[in-house]
Amino acid sequence: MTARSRFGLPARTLVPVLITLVALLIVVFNHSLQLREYRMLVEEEQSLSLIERLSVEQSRFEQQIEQDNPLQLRRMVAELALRPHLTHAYLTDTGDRIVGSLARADAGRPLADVLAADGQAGAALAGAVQSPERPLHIEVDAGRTALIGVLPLGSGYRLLVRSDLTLPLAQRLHRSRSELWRHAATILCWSFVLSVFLHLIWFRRAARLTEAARAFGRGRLDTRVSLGGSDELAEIGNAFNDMAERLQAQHMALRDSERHFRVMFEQAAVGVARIDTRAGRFVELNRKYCDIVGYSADEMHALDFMRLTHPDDLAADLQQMDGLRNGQIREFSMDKRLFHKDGRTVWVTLSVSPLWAPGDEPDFHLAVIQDITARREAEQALRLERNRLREAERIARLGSWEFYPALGRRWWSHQMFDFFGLDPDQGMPDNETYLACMHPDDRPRMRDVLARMGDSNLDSVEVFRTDPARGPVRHLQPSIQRVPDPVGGLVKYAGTLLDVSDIVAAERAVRESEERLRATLEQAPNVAVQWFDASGCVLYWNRASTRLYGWSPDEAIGRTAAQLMLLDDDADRFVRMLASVERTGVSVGPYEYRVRTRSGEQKHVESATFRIPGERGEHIFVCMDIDVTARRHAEQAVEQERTHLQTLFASLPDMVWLKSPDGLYLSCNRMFERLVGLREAELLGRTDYDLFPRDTADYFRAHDERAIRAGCRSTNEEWVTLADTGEHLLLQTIKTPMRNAAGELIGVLGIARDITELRSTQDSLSRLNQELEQRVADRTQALSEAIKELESFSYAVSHDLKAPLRGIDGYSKILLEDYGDVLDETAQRFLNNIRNGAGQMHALIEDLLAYSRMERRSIEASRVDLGELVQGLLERRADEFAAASARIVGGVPSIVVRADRQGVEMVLRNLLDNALKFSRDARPPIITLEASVEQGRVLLSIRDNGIGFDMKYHERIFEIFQRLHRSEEFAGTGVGLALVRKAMQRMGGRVWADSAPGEGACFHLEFPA
Amino acid sequence: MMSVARPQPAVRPILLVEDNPVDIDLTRRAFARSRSLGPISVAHDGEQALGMIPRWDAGERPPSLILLDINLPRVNGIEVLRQLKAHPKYRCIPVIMLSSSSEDRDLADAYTLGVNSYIVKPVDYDRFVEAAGHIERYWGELNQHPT
Repeated sequence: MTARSRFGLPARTLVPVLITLVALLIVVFNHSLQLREYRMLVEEEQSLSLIERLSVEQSRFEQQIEQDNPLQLRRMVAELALRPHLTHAYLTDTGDRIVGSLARADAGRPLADVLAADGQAGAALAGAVQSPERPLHIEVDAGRTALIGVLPLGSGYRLLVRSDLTLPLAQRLHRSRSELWRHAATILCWSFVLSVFLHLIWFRRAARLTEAARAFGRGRLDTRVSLGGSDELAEIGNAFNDMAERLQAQHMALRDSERHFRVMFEQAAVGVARIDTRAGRFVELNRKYCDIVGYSADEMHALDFMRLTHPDDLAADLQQMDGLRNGQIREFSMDKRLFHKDGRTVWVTLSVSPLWAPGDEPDFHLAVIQDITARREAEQALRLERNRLREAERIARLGSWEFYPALGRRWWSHQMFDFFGLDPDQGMPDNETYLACMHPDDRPRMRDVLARMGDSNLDSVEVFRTDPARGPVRHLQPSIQRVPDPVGGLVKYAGTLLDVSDIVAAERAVRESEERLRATLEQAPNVAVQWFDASGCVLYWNRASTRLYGWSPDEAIGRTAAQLMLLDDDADRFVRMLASVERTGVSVGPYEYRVRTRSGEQKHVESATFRIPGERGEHIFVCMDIDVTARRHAEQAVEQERTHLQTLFASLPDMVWLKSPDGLYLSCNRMFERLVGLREAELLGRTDYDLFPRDTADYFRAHDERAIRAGCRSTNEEWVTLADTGEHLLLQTIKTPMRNAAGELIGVLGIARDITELRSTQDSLSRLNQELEQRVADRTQALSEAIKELESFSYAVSHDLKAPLRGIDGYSKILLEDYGDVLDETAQRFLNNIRNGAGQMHALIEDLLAYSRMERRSIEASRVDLGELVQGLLERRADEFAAASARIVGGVPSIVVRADRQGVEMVLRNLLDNALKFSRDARPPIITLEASVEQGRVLLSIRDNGIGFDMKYHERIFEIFQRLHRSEEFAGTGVGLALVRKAMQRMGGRVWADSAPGEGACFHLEFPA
Repeated sequence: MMSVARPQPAVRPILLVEDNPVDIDLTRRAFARSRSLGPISVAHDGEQALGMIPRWDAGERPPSLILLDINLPRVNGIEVLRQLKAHPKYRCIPVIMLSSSSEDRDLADAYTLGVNSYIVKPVDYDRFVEAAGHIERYWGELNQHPT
């Protein structure tokens, strides 16, 4: 490939072209600079020349203007035309009128007109004239093609000239262009020379190097390059040669290695495959791999390992692959199944290692497989055999073992371990472990057996048991066989252990079962069992037999039934019966007959007899007797009771009958016979419809059914007419469904009583009651009105009485206060007496009010704690008690009564006040409190050691206004105790006192519970 | 500490509703020494007491406190109390029952209707004067109520 620049040209072409272009550009740029310089030069030259000329002309013109010589002036203007390049010249006077011009026709015309007609040059001149008055000046016109000069000449004259620059400029440019061409030619020559030079020393060698590299790249590894010189290119050439040398050597080595590896890969005894890790496709694989799975290499390329892998193994494989992919594991190995092309399964050991460097993206991995199907199958077969053997041993409960005495080593089959509950993984047990598995009682014997196995001949060992601590005890029957070497020496013992637990258990069960049966026979409480032989001799005699007949087993065995218990008449019959049972094999009974006991008492027994085989093939006869004497007696008693009942039933004054659930008469008494006019025997089997009119029968039947439905007694009343006397009676009939012990309905019992008289008595009684109630209501009404009146009366009295009292007391007080100085002592005493009287009157009114309230108010029962209440009262009176130096003895425990709290409090307050009041003279006053609960009633007593009273006044003291003392002795209204009694009565309790004069008094309270 | 004397408002009268002239006289005397309570005006029965209401409406100063007996001619004290306490404007005037009755029924009726205090008129004049002192101290000095 040729080295090309980005413009698509080879460097050997591009470089000379670029050099040439750059040189030409420089020349053109230089030329353009020169052109500008030339133009300025020309303008400057021409300006200087014009200024010089005009300056010369100025003095001449000013002289002529001064002499006012127009002609001369005109001439002088015309002379100016001799000056090279000058194209226009105008002399103007003060009025800008042309005095002289190069064109004669212009003289006398206004300058502006002339200039306007002169096109572009005129316009440039007109512009210069417009500019303000100033001395001589030259300017370049707009097109840079002419110089305009304006010369002021005094007296208002001006000289205006235009000099053309085009010609001098063109001459100058012509010279410059010739120079440009010369330069360009020179530069092109040099560029060509330079290009040739570069090609010779650089590009030609570079092309050679490129050629060599290209050949190397095409695989000609022996390509070398020789460039000569010692510049950079030469060094690159040398470096290339070195590199080519080394790569050629490596390539040779790699080719050898590749060949060897390929041979190994193809000839390997294991299947090797390179697999695309992402798709799982086989990229490359050897013949062995194909052989194992049965596909050709081409077929394999179309497959992936997932499709070949057995589904049961795929998950594990993929999981491992995931581990490999994310770098968790570096490689793995597993046994798995592959599907062979022909459908069978091939077991292989798979080893997988990644082909990517750690940290790189996974691309390929190497899978190595080894066919292990044969090994697998052998293992499987072996496992199967082992399991079969193990299963056989388990089913047979047979363990096999070997013992090598010389080595002291043993081998056990799996079942052996099972017998002893040992873990096969723990290895074969030693003698001590083995012994520890045995029953402690068997260990000494077995230790001896194990010891003898080492040195002597052992032919048989008895059954031994396993240790009960290791689970259910097994009975193991060992069998043992010596295995000798060719010269008769002992090599090993081989043998088995047979689990004979079931046989041992079965034997024991048979034994126990027999014992249980015998025990059952012995313990049977009411069934007397005897075994007889064919001649009637007793073979077996149980305890119940002893209890029934009084003979002990020792006495009974060997004797005949006739000797022991049969009555004389029955002896022959018994022997005949045995013969019949023997002959027919059919059991006899149960039948009842009378027997005698050892003491001669006669009893009734119920007996059954059958035969069982004896041990020697003969027949044994079993008799089972139950004592039914008591039942017999009971039946007789029942019969007697039945007779009594019949008599009672017949003689009852009430009518009694029994009907079946479907209405048939079953029984009736004599009174009922009177009603229906039939004998009981005639009545049986009939229904109400045979006896009564249809509507009556319907009514009775409905009543029966109601009782049946309700399942209990049903009562109604009905009028009937007796069949014999024609008497009309009101009957109260009770129908009761009758049920037997199992709860089944057996009939309806009817009992009817004549209540005709009773009803008429009841009717009159009820009328009387109504009258009485009306009277009570009337009285109550009157009474409550009276009470109401009394209430308002006492209310009015108490309040109206209080008002004058307040006046009496108030004015007495005011008198004492305001007129104390004019009243003498007696008058003052009288006033005080008036006040005391008013006070007593007030107390009386208050007590009366309280009494009347107690009578009227509603009692509200609530839970009242007496102890707490008394404690509160005592605390409130503490000062009073202290003032009287009174002592309180005893106390009231916390007892709860249901009472009116206010009432109880009033009662206790009054009694405590009384106790204190009447014991004020005692030294010291002692008040004793006691409380108790007796038979559900609460008793509370308050005792004082005061003056007491005679018990003949006991009732009086509880009456209102009754006092035993003058009020001077003991203040009081005589209402307090009456109030106490009233309150206790209203709360359902009572109060009483016991006392004697001078011995104190005790007041008792009793509260309902 | 400085105490600022508040201008004492003109003391409003007390209304005593009582029919018994002796009680009226004694009540006046008992309250005679009172400084914090105003002068006592008297209504002699319930009707007269209720007749005060239109006069209050007409601009007469309502009382600061009403002492009300229960047993009154024509309209009894409980009825007077009921109408006073049902009145939208004058139900704020404190009413003290001053009666001889200590009946539960009267107490319950009075408190149900919203009486402010119930005092059983003592018969003993000393205690009556004492009670008047307490009423004055409590209702005249301690208690604050809307004017």
